[in-house]
Amino acid sequence: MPQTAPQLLAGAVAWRPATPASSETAERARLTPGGPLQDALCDLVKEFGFQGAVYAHLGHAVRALRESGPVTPLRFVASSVFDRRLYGETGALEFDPMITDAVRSNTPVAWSTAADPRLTDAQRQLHARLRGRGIQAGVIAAVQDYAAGPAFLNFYSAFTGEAERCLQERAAQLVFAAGVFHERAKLLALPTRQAARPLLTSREIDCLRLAAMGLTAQETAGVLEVTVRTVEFHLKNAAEKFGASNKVRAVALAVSRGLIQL
Amino acid sequence: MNRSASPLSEREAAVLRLAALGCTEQATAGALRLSRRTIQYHLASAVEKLNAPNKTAAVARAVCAGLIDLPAAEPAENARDLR
Repeated sequence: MPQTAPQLLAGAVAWRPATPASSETAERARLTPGGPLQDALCDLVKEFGFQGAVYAHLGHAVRALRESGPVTPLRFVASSVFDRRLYGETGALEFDPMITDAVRSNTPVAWSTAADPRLTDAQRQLHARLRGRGIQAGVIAAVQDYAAGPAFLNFYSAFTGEAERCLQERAAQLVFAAGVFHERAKLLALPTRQAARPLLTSREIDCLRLAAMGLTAQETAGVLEVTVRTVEFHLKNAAEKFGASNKVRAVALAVSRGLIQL
Repeated sequence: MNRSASPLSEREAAVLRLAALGCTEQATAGALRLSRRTIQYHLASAVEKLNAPNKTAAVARAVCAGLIDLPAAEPAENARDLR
């Protein structure tokens, strides 16, 4: 006898759009101790009738999405350990086809794992992982936070129709819910350890900061009491780490990611 | 981005933005189809308006103040509508 979709998903999915009878199973399936944010995210998942969701605050690192490899979100909340694994441990933010476009939009965007000839191999693998979890489609609601950098809520659904219907009927509520969740997350969640790991050495940051203030390499050398060649060495290394072609570009990227403040 | 609130003219913002992308004056001149001297003129004028000591500092200030967008983070055109 073929299994229905809810039976297939029962063991692997955080929340069904629960009938009271199945909420106990869902509670067990969640596995990880739920903080207030995870609880709030699960409530949203239930309210909008999805199977799971992840929240990621990309911060200004979003500017690097196409420039320098994987991006570790500043804050990350998943409705279950399964959802966390999809992103947190695979670094999927780097090539997730939905995210690069969706985070720049202010209206929610629907996506599906249906075959698309434009996808790269890495993107196909991610979609295969999602399908393996019974996820067919979803909706991304981005939060355009100009001060702290963009964030998004990505809801997963087992049925393409459900995601699209939710988008058509409740887009405004999704945007509102995402905004409220983002504000709560900023207050309650500490930035993840990986995101806090310094990309640059403190000396490189010193040189970039002084360059951003308008000092020449000669003047910077005087301030830091090192030789001009050392300053040029630090600036060259900083530019290389950013994949930047010159000093001005490196300074622009460092400012945009909040590594140096003016 | 609220252009009307920006102290920079459209040309000055474009020149600064290309500088932030790592373009040399020569490359900027080629991209905008202007002479190198015109680029230098726009840059000097932007540097003065931002009260910055030089080009690097002007780019840093413009990025910090949100006067120029770096391309990977350009918000969608409707980004302001729902705020």
